[in-house]
Amino acid sequence: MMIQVKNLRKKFKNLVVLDGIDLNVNRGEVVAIIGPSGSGKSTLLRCLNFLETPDEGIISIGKATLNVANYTQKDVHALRQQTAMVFQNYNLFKNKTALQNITESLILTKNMTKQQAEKVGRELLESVGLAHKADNYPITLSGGQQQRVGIARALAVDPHAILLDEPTSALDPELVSEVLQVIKSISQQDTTMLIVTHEMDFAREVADKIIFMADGCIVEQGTPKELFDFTSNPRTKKFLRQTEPTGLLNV
Amino acid sequence: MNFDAQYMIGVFPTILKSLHITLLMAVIAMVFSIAIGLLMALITKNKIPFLSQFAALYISFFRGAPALVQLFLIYYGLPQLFPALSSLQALTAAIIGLSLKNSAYLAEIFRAALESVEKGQLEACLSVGMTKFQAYRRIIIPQATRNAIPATGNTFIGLIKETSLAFTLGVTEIFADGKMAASASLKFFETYLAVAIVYWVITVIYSLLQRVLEHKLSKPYTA
Repeated sequence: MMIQVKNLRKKFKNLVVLDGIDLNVNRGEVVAIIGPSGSGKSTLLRCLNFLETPDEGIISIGKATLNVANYTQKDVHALRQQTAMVFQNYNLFKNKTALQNITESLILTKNMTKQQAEKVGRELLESVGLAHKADNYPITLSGGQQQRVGIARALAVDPHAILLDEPTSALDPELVSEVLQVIKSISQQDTTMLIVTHEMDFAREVADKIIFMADGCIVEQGTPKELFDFTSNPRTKKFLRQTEPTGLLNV
Repeated sequence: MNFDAQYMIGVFPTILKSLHITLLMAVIAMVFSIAIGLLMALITKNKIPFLSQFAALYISFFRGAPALVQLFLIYYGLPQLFPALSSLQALTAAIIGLSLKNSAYLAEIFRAALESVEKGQLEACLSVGMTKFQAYRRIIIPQATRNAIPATGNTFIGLIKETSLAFTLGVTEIFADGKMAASASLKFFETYLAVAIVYWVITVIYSLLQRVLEHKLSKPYTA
């Protein structure tokens, strides 16, 4: 088991965002988390690397286990080192070039020399089709290019799992497919991934497992086929109907 | 009109005799101000218990009391409490006083500059396994620096001119030189105009240097 989450709970003030989430993800598995806005998908992802602090629960990822009831800053750091995150707004380091965005963490956290790090960095840029942009600063890159660098940066730390938080939501429509292509190619390399996404076709295509969340709970989970084609859960059905391109017209 | 241009040109070398003292005070006080200001800003921004209350008090007091009063307090006042300080040199006292006052101003400038860096930058650092310290050193502070430069430059220009207050403690800097030259020649207007021009030229030169620095730092952010 690569990721194991038990009874994860999180409140913002009085609003319950995560209402006791249990989650298991196997090594190499690609899991897509879908659900309406405000259902807690992103918060779940952000709790897994403690960018949000949960109120309760136990998180195990790779070699690290953290019990929210009792942990140290060291545990948080260890947990974060198990994963890497791809953000909706890319969050590339603005004062660093595309290549430096990737090498920075390698030099600081993996004790690589600059040469070693740049070698890895250039290979990763190559793999996302941006070798020629190595020395560009983020501001000179399109959204799609920035996100591909963001993915390369996440891959560089060689994490046990990659967390992708709506990786295409901020992109112009014509840039979505280049990013999805890259994610798809990674998913075929036996990388454990958790993707929060609104791209239903994409989720169906790349995911081994779909999790449907609503109101801070996991409503249903299963293979894409089970969830998209054969669900009997009324909540899931309603959501899927709404996300169909023609769904709005049929109301 | 009674204006002696020839005298005025001739008085510049006299004033410039102590230029190095003025620059020394300004630069050393600025280095301390930046160091203390950054420390206070980081404490305030991260809301470190106890230290942030102390920082708030520090900033409030040293921004609130006039610079001249602070200099007198340190140079004439402190030795009364701590006799060991009676050997404190006027120059040192001036540098301490100016550092305290300007660090309080810079603390607020730096805090705002740190706040202006998007939250996502820190999150990205943490998500790839950096410590918070590494994140600040490599990503947050460099980005904040660029935002802080214009206001920090203003503070430095203010500081250059404030060094003239050190004259009241008996430090011989360019204003003191000017004052002595004026008393000797009784040509007050020419002398003080020359003094004013010296300060002006220093700030103009600094402004040019700052522009080069700004241009260099903005490179990553311009398409």
